[in-house]
Amino acid sequence: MSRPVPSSFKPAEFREWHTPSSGLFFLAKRSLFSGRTPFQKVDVIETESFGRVLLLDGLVQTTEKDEFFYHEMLVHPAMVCHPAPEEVLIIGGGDGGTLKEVLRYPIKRAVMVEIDGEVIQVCKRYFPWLKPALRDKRVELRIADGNHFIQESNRKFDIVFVDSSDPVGPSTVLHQRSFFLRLKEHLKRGGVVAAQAGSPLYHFSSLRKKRLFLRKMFRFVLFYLAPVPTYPGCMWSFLFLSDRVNPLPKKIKKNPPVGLRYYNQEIHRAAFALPPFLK
Amino acid sequence: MARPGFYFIEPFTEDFLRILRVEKVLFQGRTKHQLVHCFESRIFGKMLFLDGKIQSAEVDEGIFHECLVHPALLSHPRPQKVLILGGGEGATLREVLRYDCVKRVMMIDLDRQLVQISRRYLPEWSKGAFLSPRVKLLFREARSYVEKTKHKFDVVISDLTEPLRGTPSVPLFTREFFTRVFEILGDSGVFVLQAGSADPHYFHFFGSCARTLKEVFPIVRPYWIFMFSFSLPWGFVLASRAVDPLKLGELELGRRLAERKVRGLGYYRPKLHRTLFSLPPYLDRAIRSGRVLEDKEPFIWEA
Repeated sequence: MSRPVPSSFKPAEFREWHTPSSGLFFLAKRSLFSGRTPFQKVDVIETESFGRVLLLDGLVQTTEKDEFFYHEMLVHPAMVCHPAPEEVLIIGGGDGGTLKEVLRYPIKRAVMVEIDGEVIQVCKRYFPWLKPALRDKRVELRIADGNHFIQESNRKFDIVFVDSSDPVGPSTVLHQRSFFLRLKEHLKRGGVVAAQAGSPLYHFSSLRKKRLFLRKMFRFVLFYLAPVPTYPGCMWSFLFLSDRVNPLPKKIKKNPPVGLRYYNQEIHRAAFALPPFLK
Repeated sequence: MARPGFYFIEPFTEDFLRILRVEKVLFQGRTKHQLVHCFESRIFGKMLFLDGKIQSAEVDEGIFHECLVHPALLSHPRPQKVLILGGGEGATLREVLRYDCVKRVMMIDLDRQLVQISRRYLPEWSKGAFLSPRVKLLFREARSYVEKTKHKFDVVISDLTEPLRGTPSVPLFTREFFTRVFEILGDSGVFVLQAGSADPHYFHFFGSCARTLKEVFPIVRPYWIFMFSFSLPWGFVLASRAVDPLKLGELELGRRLAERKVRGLGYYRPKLHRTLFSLPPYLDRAIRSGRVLEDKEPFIWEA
């Protein structure tokens, strides 16, 4: 599947526009893959600074060097706060980073529902963590629309991760009220939802809307923040939703798994501190 | 006792039906060329029906497509250019791409929408094969492509639907078409086609395909497997300009698989190669009594 790259390949510039007048660029050492699935355009490029970079429709999703900020912060706050997670659902997350973090825990089952089967094939080839994760016996991979899955399935989970793309474009529905309402029905007693919530700078109005309707649905609705160097604005927001599990107890009882690079208990508390413009 | 729910009825003949409980409808609708149903069932997994007839099921599509592709690609001394006719699900393509010696695959399918539906709902079939830069996919009539192309191929694989009355598959199973396939093959070129069911009731299509190919190719080797999801034995015919698949020993086949970096097969193996080609007497008779199919009197599937 790899595209043969001529030796005379000059570093190509990949630009991602964040606003009409600013953005991010990479000088790619080489392009590893470029193709179009039924859902989106997929590119994998190799860069000096961030290793392999996955772009969907030209937007950075994951890079080898900085994926841990995002994936650790999506997964560990919920996994550490829940007393005993056994059944976990991941909506989206085709690059497998979220799955890899979830499998660090002694869970019974992780169901991953990804809409684009071909993205998984590409990531399996270029991102080293995905193949072993999918071989894990606890993993059940479903190629399906996450929104359809929660409409049709009646399974319940301890933790649901929403690892969608941004609230603009095909993932729009995964950021709406009706989606979260249905999602709640798939939570076991004491269940937790952790969702990526976009850039607090660029998706500010969507964040504010979401907080309004979520507050009527869950007892604990907290945004938390983490840096993701290659995402727009660098500062990224996540949502912690639960009726019973408080993400900020007096004492966090469980220790995170060893070997993490960003998340620890101090970071956990600090992440939930919000600046005035987000309060 | 059957569970309540929705059931799909698949007519095998006018008198014999198969009834299957549908767990979930993934897609149903009509493309420009055919009626498409994608279902999920408990025993067969995801299933694809075209014009109401089963095409493949998750549980054993691997068996079907491995048996369609590997005997032909292993028979050829060095397959580099491959032509696939039909095969919109992408599983035939997936099997062909396992060979690192294959440089270019041309795939001709009439139905663009079917390819999109398969990639969307049945990605387990193509496993990303459509993204490969080695693949060139054209949406057009296979007959006109084969008649007009100036390319030569090492292997041609025909993975078409049965020639139901009025469908575009009808002119793709005739002596005239097979002759043109012969012409676009290289010197040690190999042609393989899926040739319909090989059951004791309706073996005429299989027999006639083999019989017709014998008019065109010097070496014709029919073979068969049992397909669980079709509930039928299924026939294939390998026709070749020079190489004989039966002259390949187990050791040589194993060596070719390793050399061409083909790994991870679930059904085909060198030990099984010869048994595929062992036919029972009734199929020998079917071939002897088969009709030479011609453009003016093609085969029309009536079972």
